Amino acid sequence: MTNAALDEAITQLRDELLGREFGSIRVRDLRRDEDTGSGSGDEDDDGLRLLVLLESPSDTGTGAWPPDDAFELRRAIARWWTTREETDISGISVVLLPATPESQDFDPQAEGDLGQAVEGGDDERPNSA
Amino acid sequence: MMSDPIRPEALLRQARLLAGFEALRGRPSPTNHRRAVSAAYYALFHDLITHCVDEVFRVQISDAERYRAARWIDHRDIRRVCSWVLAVDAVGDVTHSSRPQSLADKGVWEFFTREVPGGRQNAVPSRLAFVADAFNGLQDARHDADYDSSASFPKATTKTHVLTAQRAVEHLGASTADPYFRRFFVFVIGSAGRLK
Repeated sequence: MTNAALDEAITQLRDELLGREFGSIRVRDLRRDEDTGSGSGDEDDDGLRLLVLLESPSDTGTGAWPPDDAFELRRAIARWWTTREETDISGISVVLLPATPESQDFDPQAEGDLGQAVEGGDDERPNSA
Repeated sequence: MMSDPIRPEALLRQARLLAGFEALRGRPSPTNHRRAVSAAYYALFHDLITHCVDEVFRVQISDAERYRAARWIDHRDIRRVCSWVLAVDAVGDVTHSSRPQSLADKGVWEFFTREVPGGRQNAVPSRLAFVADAFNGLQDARHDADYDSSASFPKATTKTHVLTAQRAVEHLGASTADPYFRRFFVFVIGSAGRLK
C-alpha cells in the first residue's frame, strides 16, 4: 500500500468514526502516528499506528473507558479496514488517547500508597525471613 | 526447592495500584503508569500461558514441569495466534467462500469459522476476540511503556489497559470449556517456537 493510499484510507476511516459512539465512548479524532516504532527491536514493531482521540471518560466512575466499549471500537476499525482494504489489520496498532490533555498535577499520595503497599507485599505465604 | 510463582492476580493488583485507581487526586507518576501497563500485560501473558499448558496437560503434572512447559511459549507465538483469530473475527458476519489470504494454509480459517450456505462464517466468540485483541493491544502498549520515551500514558489510557487485562483474565477463567478457546490454547502451544 502506498503512503498516499494509506492516508486516503485513514481519512475515510476517520470520517466513518467521527462522532460515533461505542457504548459510552465517543470518537473525537483519528490520525496516523508519525512517530511509529518503540525501538523494542521486535520485528512486529514497525507497523502503522493509529491514534484515536476520545472524549474523556467522565462518567464511568473508574476514570477509564469501559474495556468492552474500547474493544468494540477497535473491532469496528478492524472490520472496516478488512472490508475496505481487503487486508487484515494485524500490522496496525490502535492507541486510544483522551482528546483533551489531563491534569499534569503530580499526586504525592499515589507514591505514598505505592510505598505502603509494596512494603506490605502481596504474598499470602508467611514471611519466613 | 521453594519458589515464588508468578501470580497473574498479584500482577493485576500491582497494576491497579500503579495506575492510581486508589489514588486521591491528580496524576500519579508517569513512571508508575508505564509500570502499570507492563504489569497488566504480564498478568495476561502468564494467565494465558497457564491456560494453554493446562489444556495440553490434562493429567496431573508437577509445578516444576508446569513452569518448564510455560517457558516453551514466547510472546510472539501468542501474538501470531491472536492475529489469526482477529483476522477471522474481522470478517464479521459476512459469508466467505474462501479464506483471507493472511490465513492461507494454517487451518485457522477452518477451525474458527463454521460452514453455512454459500461458504463459511466467523465463529470466533466475542470473548475470545476480546482476549486476542487485549493481548496484542497490551503487548504494543507494553513495548511503548518499556522502550519508547516519546510515548505518553494518560490516566484514562493507563486505567483502560489495566481493566482490559483484568477483563481478559476473567474471560479466560470463565471459558476453559469453550471449544473455540480450547482450539485457541492448542494453536498457541502448537505455535511455540521453542518446541521446534
